[in-house]
Order: sequence, then C-alpha cells, then structure tokens
Amino acid sequence: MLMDRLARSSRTSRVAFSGAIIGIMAIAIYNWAVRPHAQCLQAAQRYEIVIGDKARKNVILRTGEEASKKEVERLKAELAGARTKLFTPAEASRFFSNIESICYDAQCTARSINFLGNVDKMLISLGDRKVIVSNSAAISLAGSYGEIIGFLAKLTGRPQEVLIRSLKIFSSDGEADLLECELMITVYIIHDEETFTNE
Amino acid sequence: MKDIRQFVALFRTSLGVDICDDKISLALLRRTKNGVEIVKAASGPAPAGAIEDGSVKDPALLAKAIKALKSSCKISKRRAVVSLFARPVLTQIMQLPGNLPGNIGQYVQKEAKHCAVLPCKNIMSGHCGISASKTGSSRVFTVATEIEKVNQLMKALQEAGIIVEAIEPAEIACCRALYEKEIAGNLDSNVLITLIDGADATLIVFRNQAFDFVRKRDIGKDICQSEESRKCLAEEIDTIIHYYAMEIDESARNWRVVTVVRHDGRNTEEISGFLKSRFPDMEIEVVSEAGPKNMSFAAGPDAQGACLIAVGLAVRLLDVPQPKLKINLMPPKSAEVRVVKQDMLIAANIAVAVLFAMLMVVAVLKVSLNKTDKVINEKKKEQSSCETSDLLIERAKLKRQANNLREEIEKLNKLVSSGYTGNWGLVLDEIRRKTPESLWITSIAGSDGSGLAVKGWSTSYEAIHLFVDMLGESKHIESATLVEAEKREGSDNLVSYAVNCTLVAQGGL
Repeated sequence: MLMDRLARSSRTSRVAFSGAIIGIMAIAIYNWAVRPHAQCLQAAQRYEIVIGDKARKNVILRTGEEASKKEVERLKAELAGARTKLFTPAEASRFFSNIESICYDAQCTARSINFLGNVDKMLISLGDRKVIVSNSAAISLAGSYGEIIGFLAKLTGRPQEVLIRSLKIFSSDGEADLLECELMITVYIIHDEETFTNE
Repeated sequence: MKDIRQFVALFRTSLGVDICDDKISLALLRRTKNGVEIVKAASGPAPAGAIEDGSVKDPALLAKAIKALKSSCKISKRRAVVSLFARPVLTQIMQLPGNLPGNIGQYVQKEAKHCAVLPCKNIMSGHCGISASKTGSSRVFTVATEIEKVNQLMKALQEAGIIVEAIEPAEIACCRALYEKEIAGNLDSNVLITLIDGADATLIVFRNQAFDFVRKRDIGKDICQSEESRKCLAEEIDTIIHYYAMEIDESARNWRVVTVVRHDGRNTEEISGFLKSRFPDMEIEVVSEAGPKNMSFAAGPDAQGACLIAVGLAVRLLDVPQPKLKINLMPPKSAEVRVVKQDMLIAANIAVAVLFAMLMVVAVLKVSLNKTDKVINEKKKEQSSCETSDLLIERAKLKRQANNLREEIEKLNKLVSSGYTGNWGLVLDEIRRKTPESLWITSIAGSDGSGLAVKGWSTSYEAIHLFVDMLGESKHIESATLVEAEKREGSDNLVSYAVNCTLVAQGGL
C-alpha cells in the first residue's frame, strides 16, 4: 500500500520524504544517544582538568608545606640555640654568686660587686608562656692588664651570654702594674610566665 | 566512478528466467575478463495447474516451483530478466507514418489495440526502433500483450523473490543468445532465425547483422511430431526468402537458417534433414534450446544443457555484443514500484549507515568516557588522603608558627644587640699588642654599644699615630680616631692623647 502511494509520488518527493525521515531519525538519535554522551564526556573532561589542577595545586602545597616544615624546624633550632645564651633563674643566681670566685681564679682582687636588679622588668614575652628579664651587676676589681683580660675571658667564656655594658680600666694611683677595672654586666634570664608573675 | 562501474561490470553476474508451457529454465551468467561464462543452469517442469493456455493461472504455485528450482541449483541471485510468458502476443514490425508522432509509445499502443490478435484488450506494449524500410519510412519492432497476463507473471516472480529487471519476448532472447556466433560478422548472408514453440513459429531475419523482419505464424501442430507442420514451416521460410528475392532484390545473397526448437527439442535431426532436402542450397541448422552449440559462451560444469532462451535473457544485462533490441514489457507500475523499492533501499542503507555512524560515535564517546572516568578515579584516589583545604590550613599554621619563631628570634637578637657582644678579652689583648713601646695607656673606657675610648701618654706624636694606625688595622676594631693629642709643657715633653675606637659589631645571639 505504502509502495503504491510512494510509486504515485514523484521522485523528488520521495527523495525529500526519505531525506526528511533520515534527517529526523539522525537528529533524534543524536539527541537521545550521542548528545548526552558527548555532554557527559565534555563534563568529565572538564572535571578531569579541575581534578588535575587540584592535584597540581596539592603537589605545590605539599612541597610548600615540606619547605615550611623545614623552615620551622630550622627556626626552632635557631631559637633553641638563641635560648642557650639565656640564663635560667638558677644559673643566673649561681653566676652572680660566683663572680667573686671568678675574680679570685683570675688572680684579680674584687673591690665591690653591686647587683643592680631590674628583675621585675619584663623585657620580652615569648610565645610559649616564657618571659625574659635582665639582671645587671656593677663590678669593681683590681689586677694587672693580663689578669683583667683573664677575668673578662672567664666571665664571658660560658654558653650563656654575659653582656658587658660598660668597661673602664685605669691605672691605680699607687702601683704601676695594678690596674683598676670597673665594669657593668647584664645577663638575660628566661622565666616561666606564671612563676615570674607570681614572684 | 566510471572506472569503478566498468570494473564492477567486468565481474557482473546475471540471471535469466525462461518460463514456457511445461518448463521453467534458469541460467546464471558471469562476465569475466575472458568473456561470458554460464556458471549455473537448471530446468524443471512447470507445476501442473500453474499454467493454462499460455498464461499464469496460479502465481503462487509457479512461484513455489521457481523457488524450488533456484534453491536446487543454489542460485541466490535475485535480479533477473524474465521471458514474456503470455498468450496471445503481438509480435510485428510497424511502419511509422511520414510525420513521426510525438509519442511513439502511445502510437504503438493505439495501433496494437486495433490489431486482431489483441482486440480491445487492456494491453501493454513495448517497441524499439529498427532499420528503415526500403522506401525509407521509419519502422519499429513492436511486442504487445494483455496487461493482466503480465501482472500475473509479475506476481508469481515477486512471490518467488525475483527482482525483475526486464520482461522480454523469448524470440529476442533467442537472437541475443545466438548473436555473437551466428549473426555478428556475418555480412555476406542473411540469417533467418526460427523459434518453434509448439505450434507457434517466429521467423526473424537479420540482414547486415541488423534485425530486419519478423513474422509469427501458427504452423498447426508441434513440429517435432507433425510432418504437416514441418511442411508449413518450410513454406514460411520459402515465402520469406522469396519475399526478399522479389521485394528487397537480394536473390544473389546467401541464406543461413537456424531453427531453434523449444521444449525438449526432439527430432531435430529429422527436422534438419527435412529442411535440408527442401532447401539444399542453404546452410540449415536445427537445434534444441537445451545446450546448443551455437552459443559463444563457455559453460561451466553446473551449466551443461543450459536453456538457450534463459541464456539470451541473462545476456541482456551483460556488457557483450548483442542485437540492439531492447524491449521491456514490465508493467510501468511494477517498474515504478521497483524504483521506489530501490530508492527505499538506498534510503534504508543511508539510515543504517547514519545509525551505524551514530552508534560508532556513541561507542567512541563511551570508551573515551570510561577512560576519563578511570583517570578521574585514579586522581581522586591519589587526592583522597589530603584535601586541599587541609593543606591550606596546615600551610597557614606553619606560616604562623614560622612567623612567631622569627619574631621571637628577632626579639632576642634585638635585646642582645643593645650591647657589645664581642669578646672584650680579645679586644683588650689586641690593644695591648698594638701599643708601641714609646706609648702607654692610662685608661680604657667602653660604654654600652661599641665605642671604646683609650687615653694615655706618648713620647712622640709619631708613636700616637702609629698606635692609631695599628688599632685601625685590627680585626676587632672597625675604626680608630685620634681625638686629642697635646704636648705637656715641662721637661719630659710627653704628649697626652685620646683615641676613640669603634669596635666591630658582632652578630647578636
């Protein structure tokens, strides 16, 4: 029946009819089968790019993290090294009480030792609930030039830092070889914040 | 494109289907580089009741027989040229009037309707132009029959699964089969081809290799059995020869008579003897339609005894020398339906191709999607252990920690660098070593920071300057400056001096 109807129509109509059917079919299949897959693939490819970018960023972040960790470790070591230059309260107490014996060891004569304090003045508050305070002393002693040098060497030759704020060496009136030395020293003491506040 | 077509044509196969009252014959031909070869051939009896009075009565029965014959000889080819099996058939040459009609087909159809053989019937006709008559008027070879009978034949063929390329009279197929061997190149004699189908005899004359004359006669009875019929045939032949001798004036020309006897072709020897005795001066040959030697085509092992008519029908579709007689009595509607089917087939093929292409695209997309999914999953697995946000938080934390540490270190450095952190012992020792003998120091005073004041006496200015220079060269003293130098009045001539030194700054903690 269909054949008879088609046979009655012109060839152009038949070609147009077939073309239209094929066209509609192609569009339908494209919309139902190809397009969703194509869109899905496109989305997946975009997602892949995003994931790739994220992975690259993570690698960069991880590398940065490693470097930061190393830097923190280095800084921690540096800080630990710096903290060794500071006295603990006990060390400071021991140090000040031993100044006279250091003079004696250097064959100098201690004339006077005045402790200037400054203990209650908090200089720095550190992150790990520690504070640094300074403690100073004015020392007057007598000895030869070499003995004074020896005294200074003994005084400063320790892991902790002893700052000589002022130094004056002058000849004693009576004796030619005997020199008078006046110096003021400062040490830095690290305290626990709580202990320091309570004191 | 043309080359491809030529190449395809070189290896084309073609099927001929001949149907007559009692027999169905098939012949499958193949065009090869060496010529045409009869690949397969088969004949079988027409089923009883399928054919009656030279027409198809039961198309389904006939279709079944054709199908069975095809499958028995394993012929799968569907496109075929089929012999016109219908009775009565008008076969004649028509002279066209001087002023040629615009539509020759219509003219032929109209003329055929007035013919006594097909009185006032719904007929269909086919024609083809042939050489002009002696008087110069145009002529057409016309074949016409009842359309209903052709439709019946078409129905049977369609049911048999045969796609009909053309329907043509057996006479033309016969001439086509014999053309290369009997007609082509035969310029010095006229060729009379006689096709005997029971009591029907069709006499065709080829003059100068061209179709020139046709006559269809009822010779009474089957020529194989009847002496009278043979005489009748001889008279017809004689009439034609005389006609040519008198009308065309070719008495001197030689004649070659080829008689093809249809059906089983019995008594061909007898018929041949009879005709030879009647026409002793002529070349006479009587052959059966089954496996004659007059064809120029090689026959394969499965094609022995091939039907001459079926072969002639199949030759029509092959690119070989053949008479220019192309008559197709396929009903126009069938032809149109065939064209529609072809178009639909092309459209269906295109649709399938489009569908296949789409499926391929979908498959490719699917494969790509799977690959991408795999890659995404792998990347996700890699990243599952650490999220970017965690990394960013960790990074910020470390940065903060580093900043705090730096700050603390800086604070400590600042605190300590408020005073001189160098070794005073070394500085004093250096001063002692750099002191000239003619100079002595009365006081050394250093204060917070990095300054040092040296005071004393010298015997000369030179010694003071030497002392300043020496101090300046020290690695612990950055610079030494003479601040004061004054000669004391008196007998000792000593010079008092004051030198300010800047100590080399130390790096803090």
